[in-house]
Amino acid sequence: MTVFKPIETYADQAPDHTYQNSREAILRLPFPYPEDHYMYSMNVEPHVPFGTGALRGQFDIDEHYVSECHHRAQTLAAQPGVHYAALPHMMEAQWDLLELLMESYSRDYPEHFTLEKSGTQWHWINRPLQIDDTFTFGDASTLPMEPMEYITRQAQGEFILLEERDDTLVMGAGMATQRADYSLRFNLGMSFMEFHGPVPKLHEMGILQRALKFLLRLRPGHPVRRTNWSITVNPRLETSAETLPDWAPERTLVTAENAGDLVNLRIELQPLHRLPRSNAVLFPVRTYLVSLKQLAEFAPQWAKRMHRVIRDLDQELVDYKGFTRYRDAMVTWLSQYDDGTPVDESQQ
Amino acid sequence: MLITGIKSRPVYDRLQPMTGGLRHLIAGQGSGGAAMLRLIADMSPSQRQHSTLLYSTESFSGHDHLQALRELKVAGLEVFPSNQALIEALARKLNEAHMGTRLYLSGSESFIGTAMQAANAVDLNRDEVLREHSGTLVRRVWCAHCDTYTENVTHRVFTCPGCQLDLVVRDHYSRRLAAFQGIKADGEVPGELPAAEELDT
Amino acid sequence: MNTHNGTLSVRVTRIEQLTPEIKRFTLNDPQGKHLPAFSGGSHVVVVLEEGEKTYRNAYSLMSSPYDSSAYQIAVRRVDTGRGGSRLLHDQVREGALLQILQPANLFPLAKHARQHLFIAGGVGITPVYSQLEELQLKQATFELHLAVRGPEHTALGLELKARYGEKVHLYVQGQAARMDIRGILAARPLGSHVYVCGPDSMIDDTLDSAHALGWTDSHIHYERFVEQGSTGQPFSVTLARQGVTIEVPAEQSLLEAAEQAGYQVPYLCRGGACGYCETEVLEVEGELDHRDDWLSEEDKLGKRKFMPCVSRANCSRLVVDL
Repeated sequence: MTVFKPIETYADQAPDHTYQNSREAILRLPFPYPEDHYMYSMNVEPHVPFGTGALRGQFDIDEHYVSECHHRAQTLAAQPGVHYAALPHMMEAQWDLLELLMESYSRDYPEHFTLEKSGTQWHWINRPLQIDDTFTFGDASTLPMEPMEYITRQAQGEFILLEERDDTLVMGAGMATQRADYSLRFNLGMSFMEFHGPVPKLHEMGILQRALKFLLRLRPGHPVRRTNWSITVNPRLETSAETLPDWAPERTLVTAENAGDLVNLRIELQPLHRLPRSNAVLFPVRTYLVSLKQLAEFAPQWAKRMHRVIRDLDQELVDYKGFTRYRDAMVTWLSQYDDGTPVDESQQ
Repeated sequence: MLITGIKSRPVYDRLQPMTGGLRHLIAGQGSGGAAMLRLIADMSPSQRQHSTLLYSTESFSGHDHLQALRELKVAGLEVFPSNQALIEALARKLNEAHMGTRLYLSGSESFIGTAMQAANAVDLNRDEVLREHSGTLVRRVWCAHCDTYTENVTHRVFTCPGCQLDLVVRDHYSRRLAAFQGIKADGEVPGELPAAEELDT
Repeated sequence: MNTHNGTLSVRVTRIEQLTPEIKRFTLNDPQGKHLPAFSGGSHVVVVLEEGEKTYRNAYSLMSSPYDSSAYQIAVRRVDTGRGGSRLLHDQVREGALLQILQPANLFPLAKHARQHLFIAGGVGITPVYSQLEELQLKQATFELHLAVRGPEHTALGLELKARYGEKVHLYVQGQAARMDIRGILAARPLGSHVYVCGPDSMIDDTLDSAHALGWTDSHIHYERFVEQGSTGQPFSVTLARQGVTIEVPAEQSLLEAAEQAGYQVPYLCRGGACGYCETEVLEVEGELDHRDDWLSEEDKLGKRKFMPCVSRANCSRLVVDL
């Protein structure tokens, strides 16, 4: 049973943030580097339960669940209209998403969540957040807000709904209080190719075309997952284009001495689902933040691998992920955990 | 350091007759008139007879092709003093038009972008519209920080009239907003601005 | 919901003879639970075993996408077919258990359409059923034009007419004027979409009429009755990943032969339309007989890609990446 930490603060909420990972939280991470060298690939696999860590449930929750929901509520209140948006014709997909999250959470974590259905009358209990609501499925007037906003305020990670249209996928709705340098309002309505425009290499490698073809064939009941990653200074969840003036200056603070404390690996677990009624595709991004220092302390083999990955990473990817200014500092700091021997994940 | 080298500029076409169409709506602005003239010249007499032209004389560069357009033998020509007036008329025409109509747009990026919003409202798809960018390279830019739109931006770095921040224009375009994205140019180190070169395509 | 090897177990709770050729099957979860939700235009694959043989036939769901307490499918008996529909008609009784795959949608609605026009013939009406339910609930504008071969084939059309009234136009051969597809498509507002499901001649008619009226392909949607599987000359094929060579007999497809030999090949429509089973050709000596609607002409000529669900080969050696 997941034990939730008392409400912590992230770096975008308080200068003296309290966010920390336990050893258990780190060892259950979906570590994104399968090899010592990293390049984009079609790293997609069937999203079936695996092990006891982050891949056990359909939508993972961990010790930060309550903190993250609290962070979401605060972020939405601070900037109304910036972090949640849905185009009008996405209502059906919103209900699909609500159903999928409620069914998954109550099945995978019955100690925390309960869903009782009686026809279209649904009873939802969320114990960690002390929510106990009854509503009519399909009738938005019986919820205090739109179904997507309602359920994703109770979920970890961000959620993007893509609509299939004209042989592509179009961004139709999103709850994104933890996005990595993009603007939800700006990207809304963009096609798959358009919203991937900023990502380097993908076009040249032909990956986008293949990925789109693959996603258009995604079918209900057969989700797939992939991981992605980035680097963030301080445990800051909210790093949108809108608030760039708040977070970008921190990139200048990193030195070889403080990199362990300041630099966080930002892991993204993305379980993609075709939704049954709307035929929309759900693109969730479950974000995990871990400081280099904590990673090295509890998972030294991963720190060793990360040293190699960052050291040898293609410069275009470094620029895109935004750590050009402090890549060398990171590499220097991580090098103390790399003795040159092969990585052996069973040894941590 | 901040991402600027984004490759998601809108891709434009060259106007040419769409042979499958039965009726042709051709809307242009300023220097876009040249592409309209060339398109009509490339058309068959029958296509010309089924073509309606909408032209706005609003121009950033001062180009005006009205005289030459008046001499064309087409179904009709309507002239507008502003892009906004043209786009409102276009929206009305599209709303009443039948399947089989093709839309051609030529002019500034900003003009094409806002005209496309009208086309999207009636569910015109990519195979029913051609867009040719012409003349000036000015852009419409949306500020990510204060939600202000600035028309006719000519340089990579400019000051947002809404929040007074120096913005860098990313080559990242939103069709829904019909605008490029502007973000704080000296986001990492105050005063450390990227080169303010003229924008080009 | 029971899932076993990716299939759902469902109980046949009702069988209705609707026309001389069409039976409608109502399917429920054996424990009375709700079945997975689906969208208008979806189909399920029914997996049927007869002795050594396994049939996998796709049928459109005709029940409401908003009521997942039961599924309904309509099955037209095809005596000349390879047997799946005959088996369902003759052997399956109320109370029987069937294995089906979870619904998938290869014929979705264009959600932004300003007007939806459906043209259907005979049993081609089945995918339209669930689409109309969806549109009715959304209060979208739609029309259905359905042609049938005679008064004894009107049951489904009359059922829909009772539900949607004047939006449904029924054309009974010998009783009324023929369906004028060009007239149906004429003078429609921008943003109209047409969906056609029926015999090839009806699809071709619709495509020709729409093109003549200046419609572009993105507004035209069609689903052919795909005769699943394929028949033709036998051939041998080497499955490179398995390191085996198998024989594909005259009455089976490569996909079916591989499954029968115990190899799992990913698939969805089994009719050469969805692209799910696309595989790479590693070696070929001879000609490939491409029968799918998925690969581009370029891919077909290139001899590098192959659709095991329908395509065949006339060659001395064929190695595929399966």
